[in-house]
Amino acid sequence: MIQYLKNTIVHGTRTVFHNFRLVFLMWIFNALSALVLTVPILNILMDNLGRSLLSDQLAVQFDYMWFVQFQTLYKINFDQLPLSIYTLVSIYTLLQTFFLGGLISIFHTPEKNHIVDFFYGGVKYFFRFVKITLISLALYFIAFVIIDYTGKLIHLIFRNSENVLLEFIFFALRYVLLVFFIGIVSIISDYSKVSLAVNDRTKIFREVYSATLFIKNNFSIVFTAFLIVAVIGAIGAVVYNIIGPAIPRTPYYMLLLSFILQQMLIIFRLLVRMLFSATEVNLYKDLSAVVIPAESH
Amino acid sequence: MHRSGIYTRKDGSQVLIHAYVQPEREKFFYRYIEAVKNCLEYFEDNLGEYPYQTITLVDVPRTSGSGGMEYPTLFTVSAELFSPHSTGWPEYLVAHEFSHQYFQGLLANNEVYEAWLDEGFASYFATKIMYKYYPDILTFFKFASYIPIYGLEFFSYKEIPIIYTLAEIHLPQATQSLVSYYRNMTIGSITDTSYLHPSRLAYLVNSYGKPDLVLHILERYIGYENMMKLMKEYYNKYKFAHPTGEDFFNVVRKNVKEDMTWFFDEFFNSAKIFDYKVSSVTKVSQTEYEVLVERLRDGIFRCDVYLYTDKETLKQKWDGTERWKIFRFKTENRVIAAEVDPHRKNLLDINFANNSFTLESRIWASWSLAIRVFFWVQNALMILGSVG
Repeated sequence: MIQYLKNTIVHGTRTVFHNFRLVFLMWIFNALSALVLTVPILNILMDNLGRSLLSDQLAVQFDYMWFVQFQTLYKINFDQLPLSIYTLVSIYTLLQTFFLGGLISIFHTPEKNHIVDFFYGGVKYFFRFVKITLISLALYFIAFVIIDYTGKLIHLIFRNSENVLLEFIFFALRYVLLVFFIGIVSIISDYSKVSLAVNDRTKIFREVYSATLFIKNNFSIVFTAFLIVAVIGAIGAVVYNIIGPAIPRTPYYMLLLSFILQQMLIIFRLLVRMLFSATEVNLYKDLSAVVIPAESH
Repeated sequence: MHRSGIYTRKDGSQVLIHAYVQPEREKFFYRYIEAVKNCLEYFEDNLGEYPYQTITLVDVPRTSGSGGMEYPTLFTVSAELFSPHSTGWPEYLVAHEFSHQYFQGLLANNEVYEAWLDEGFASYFATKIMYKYYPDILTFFKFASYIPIYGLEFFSYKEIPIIYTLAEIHLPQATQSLVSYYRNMTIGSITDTSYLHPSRLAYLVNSYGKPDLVLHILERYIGYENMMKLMKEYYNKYKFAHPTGEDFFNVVRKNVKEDMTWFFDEFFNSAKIFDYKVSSVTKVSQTEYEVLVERLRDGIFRCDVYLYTDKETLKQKWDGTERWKIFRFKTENRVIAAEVDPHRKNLLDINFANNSFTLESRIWASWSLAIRVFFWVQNALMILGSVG
């Protein structure tokens, strides 16, 4: 299994680098989406600090008292933040769904890796993938409601207890279960999309069911591959968190360096996202292949 | 569980510290006893020695509903499951409750009518103790109700941080009181009868947070030494008695050379909002500059106005009463900026950023912060956008 997984991930990595240019497309859309939220914040920062000596102090060291004032002064803007984020995330999710259609399409047929095939695949599978995404979101919603009520129940059970540690363990266990559930739903969702695209089918629920069966039958391989790619992504974040904080914010070229490093991490994460899809397509095609016995003449 | 410690006063006599702690919080014994020793030392140095031979700290069960209470020679506290040193808890709670030994125990004001005289002073002294003995307190937010994480959280869902930054950000003095004050800036004043405040929030802010801030403002206005001197006099004059707010004001009047009635009116007896702004710096001749300073809200504060040049700082004073005033400075040096209340004496000023005006625009911090926000949003989008 180890050799098989190694081959799958190596093959997936090659496929990703073969389509390296697509990561820039995804990066540009990620950056543009983030700008939608960042530009208004830059505007209020300029309004607040554009002529202030505090700007000089903040460039050297963060001032929490200023931050508290800033939040209060621009409370109206900050109050709109959750709604803005949810709206932006919804649009971005649709964009990601579109890109995923394109990615799976070209990972499925490596010889067709032209940018036109990417967009063709994106359009072709968009509505099918959106339906899968909606099913996932519904499941997440139910999970969060359950988590919420479980939390209230735990507080209720322990309200007259001094065993805070046990309460904390139960409380934390909810989050472990939530992360596990999100992981499982993500994998099912991803393989359902792969299955829809590879087999070019349209029956959503049937494909979700068959993807679930596929994962169940090949759980160790599928989950290990998922974990390995997730660990690769985590390594990037760890490296950034070691190097990033060590870079000073002044002078300007250090800020630029910091920005470049941040964008390198974002591009790395997008590549990891592509690697997830590439390995999933490879695994699905390999493990679901029907073995046809050779005919004897 | 019980343990004890000894505090030796400057004259060699001793105070026996008893600590009764819940078994599951045994790890806090040392921190509790050290915190009490620090409080005893601070009060002995600055106000007067603790007059009793024992002090008892009781770490109460969290379900008892009796944590954070004070009685002569005894007070109750309670600690969170995870309380790393840099959060400042439970030390702040110990410092606050211990301060009540003086403000409520020894200076026995009527807290039903003037809660700020014990809660406000206890908050002020707790802050002073914390920043003397525990200067490295960091900002934190809580993950999953229990786990403190150093940094700032901007956006979360069901206690799961989504947009946040992990960083060691120092918590400036009295900032927690400032957060509390911003929740209720206009309803009620400090000297309003406590039990008549229209809401619990108005009561809390005007009894705890705002008096803490105003006492810090007074300290910054008259200087730390003078503040401690008048506090010592207030203590010596009224210990084992029942002082009122007016008694405190009289001690201030006696110890400060200028007439402080304006200060009491602006900060204690009303709910005014403060915001001073330097609106412009104009060069009117080769060697003369005009600085336009505005008072944007109703609060009045006597403050300094500085003009910074590349070689020197020129200073003027302003009683702050006019809605706006033009200050003229003469200098041949290159002018960089002007600033009103440059030492942040008035902590109730709602916007420190507009207290200064630079001749050249400043984009550095705005871009630096915006770039960070940009990165955080990019990450949040990637995480949230790919879960479906």
